[in-house]
Amino acid sequence: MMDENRRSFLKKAGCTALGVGCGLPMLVAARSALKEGSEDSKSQWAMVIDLRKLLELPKAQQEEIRKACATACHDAHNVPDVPDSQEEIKWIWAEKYEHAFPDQFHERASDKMKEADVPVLCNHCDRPSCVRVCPTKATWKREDGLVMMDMHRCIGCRYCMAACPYGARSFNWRDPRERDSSSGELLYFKEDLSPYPARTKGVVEKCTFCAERIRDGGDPKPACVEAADEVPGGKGILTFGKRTGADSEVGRKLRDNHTTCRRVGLGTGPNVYYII
Amino acid sequence: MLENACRGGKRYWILLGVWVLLIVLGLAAYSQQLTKGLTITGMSQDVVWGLYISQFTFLVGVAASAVMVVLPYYLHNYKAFGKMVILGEFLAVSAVLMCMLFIFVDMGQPARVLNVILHPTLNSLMFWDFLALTGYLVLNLVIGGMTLDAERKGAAAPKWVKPLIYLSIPWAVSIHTVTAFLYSGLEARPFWMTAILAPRFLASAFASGPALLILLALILRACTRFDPGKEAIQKLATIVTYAMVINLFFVLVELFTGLYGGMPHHVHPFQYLFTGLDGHAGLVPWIWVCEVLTVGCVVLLLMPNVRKQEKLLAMLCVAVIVAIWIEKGMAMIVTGFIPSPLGKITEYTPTQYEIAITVGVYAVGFFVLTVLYKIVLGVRERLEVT
Amino acid sequence: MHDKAIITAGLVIFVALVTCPFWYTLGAGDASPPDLELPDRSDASLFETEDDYHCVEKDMAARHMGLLNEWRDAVVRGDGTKQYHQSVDFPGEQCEMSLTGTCMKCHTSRETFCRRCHEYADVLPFELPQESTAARRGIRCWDCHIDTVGD
Repeated sequence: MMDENRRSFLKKAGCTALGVGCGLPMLVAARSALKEGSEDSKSQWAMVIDLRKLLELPKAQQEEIRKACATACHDAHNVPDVPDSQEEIKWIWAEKYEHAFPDQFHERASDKMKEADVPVLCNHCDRPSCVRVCPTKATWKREDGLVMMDMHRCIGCRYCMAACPYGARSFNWRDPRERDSSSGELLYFKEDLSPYPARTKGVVEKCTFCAERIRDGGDPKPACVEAADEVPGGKGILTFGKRTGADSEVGRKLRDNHTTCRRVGLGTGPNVYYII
Repeated sequence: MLENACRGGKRYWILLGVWVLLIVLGLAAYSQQLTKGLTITGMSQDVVWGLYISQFTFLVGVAASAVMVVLPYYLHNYKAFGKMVILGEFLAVSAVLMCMLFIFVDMGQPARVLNVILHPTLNSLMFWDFLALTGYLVLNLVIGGMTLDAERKGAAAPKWVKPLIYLSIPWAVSIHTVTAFLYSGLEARPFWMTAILAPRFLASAFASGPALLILLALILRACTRFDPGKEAIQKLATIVTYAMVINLFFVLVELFTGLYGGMPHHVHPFQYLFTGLDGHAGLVPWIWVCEVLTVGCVVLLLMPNVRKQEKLLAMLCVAVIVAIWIEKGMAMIVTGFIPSPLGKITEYTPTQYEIAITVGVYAVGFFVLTVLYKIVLGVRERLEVT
Repeated sequence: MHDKAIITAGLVIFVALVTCPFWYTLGAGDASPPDLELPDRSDASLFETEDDYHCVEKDMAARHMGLLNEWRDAVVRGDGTKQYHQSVDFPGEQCEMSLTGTCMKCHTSRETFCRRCHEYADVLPFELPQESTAARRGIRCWDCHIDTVGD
């Protein structure tokens, strides 16, 4: 007798749990689907990289500009310098032309193109593949066009990294603020950390178009753009701003020059344009 | 019914002890991964998924293959599968559990895994995969448990179990389709972005799953009094045969599409696999072993006289499982990342930690399988006595 | 009923395990609530007005977790502009939603302030073990966020 009552209770409890467990996500999903506004691409932030001008400069100067961009960005955002190239974390870096533009590179490209080091970063695409696949919306496209990262929500599944066609995302394979066991010094940072929140192991990170500077308002310039402008000969190599608008520098450059993007054929709609 | 798991002979407890030892080994390695991070694995910026996800892919197939016994028995009244069905359903439970564990150990922040439920993202295949796997686990546990219990009581199962059984048939196909869609929707990965990925997954699943089931049935027959029946085993062997034939055909179709047009994005991954690319040839021996085994198995399994000899059949089943394990695991998952979307090549080798954790997860699965099968045995033995 | 011995033994072990948080710490020394080190009120540079400096809300010990969660979601997942918190207990007052920008202006050291309570209460937002220096033992937030004193 007791047996039958316990059984039926367990069955009912199980069914209830199942129902709630299945029903709740559906309810939440429906709510969030209704809440999400439409994508307003009119106010999209974008960047124009004048590759033509960059490649006309002497090699040493090119290197100086590229280094300045990377250093400024990585210092401002506490990006650790992991020595292992398989596990390195990079928000902005340089790739050879054939790796940056694999669909446009052909066997008889000029030497200049073959040797060119192209600055690359997250493209903050119009239709980002990473956002499409993230199971927790830890990465999402904001209304102003930025593809954002929420480090608190990321579960470290790396699906976004599998989906990104540009290699723009890096994973924290280890604790970036690991210290040397004897000296106690930080292993991957040379100097003091900036106040920007560093990350922890197990989350993915990438360039955020300096969202913290955009938040402060005014005429925001990401750290890389600012750094490039300060190198002699580097002014105007990187331009950042709204893609459209009457006084949009980016818009003007897009109208007046021949530009291309990385892997256009994939349909992601990148917002980093290269004048070539 | 469940108390059957607590009663057993020496062999049972020793077997469970072996699994527990391996689980402890896996846990020790996993604690290292929790503290040090995923740096202790062989994965890298370019190859972001390795041994864990490849095992998940293989085991999802094994889990889905339960449909190959459920469908004939319940939809077409194929009575010979009477004793095999419960083995298939419980194998599915164990396999799905291992799948979910493999995904769990692969995560960088496993404590946050419930974010997938708290913040459901309908456009993400991973969200649907989570639902599909959880649902399938529950389905098979309930179906298996209720039907076994009904058998124990000598009565028919409650009426509501029948619609669940019918539901489990498309659900089984769907779990593997969703897993295939996880890969085949990524425009950054041309090796995966093929419509035939889902059919390929299913074909190889329906070969490897029943092959494993045959081996388990033969082991049970050898070690216990439980005999699923010669006809059931032979019918499963036929299923494995045709599934392997279709799988081989799909592989050849893929090779044609990839190689004939000569598009670098399509050709390079196959080149890396079969001949090596730019000096990197890590997977070449693996894939050739896999293809030789596949062709060999197809040729031999097609001969009814070979299938009828159970010793040969057992060896061929092992060969099938090895071949598909290589094909789905190393060949399909790792090759998706080589070359990278930028055209670079980074090879992948699992580390000892990864292997230890993988062994640990398999041990959990086999522990659960052993316990579930013991319950089946207990119920059957009781019935046979009465 | 020869199982009585086993059942009794099992019950005793169970009760011992369940109550172990209580008897385990009995001998561990002084277990009084910790002294919170509030900011030095004589330092005029920290405060805009000398009198009536107060926290964002009343009863912060109970409410700071909820507030921080709310601020996190509003700032990280918001529209990208500065987010302001409208005080409920002090109507009319607002402050920017920022841990380092607002809270840490007064509570300058997590060592003396945050960690004392959290260590005493042994409250970590997540329970995963963490191999790290003693400085990290406090709260998981500090895995990433950097306080003004450093690290």
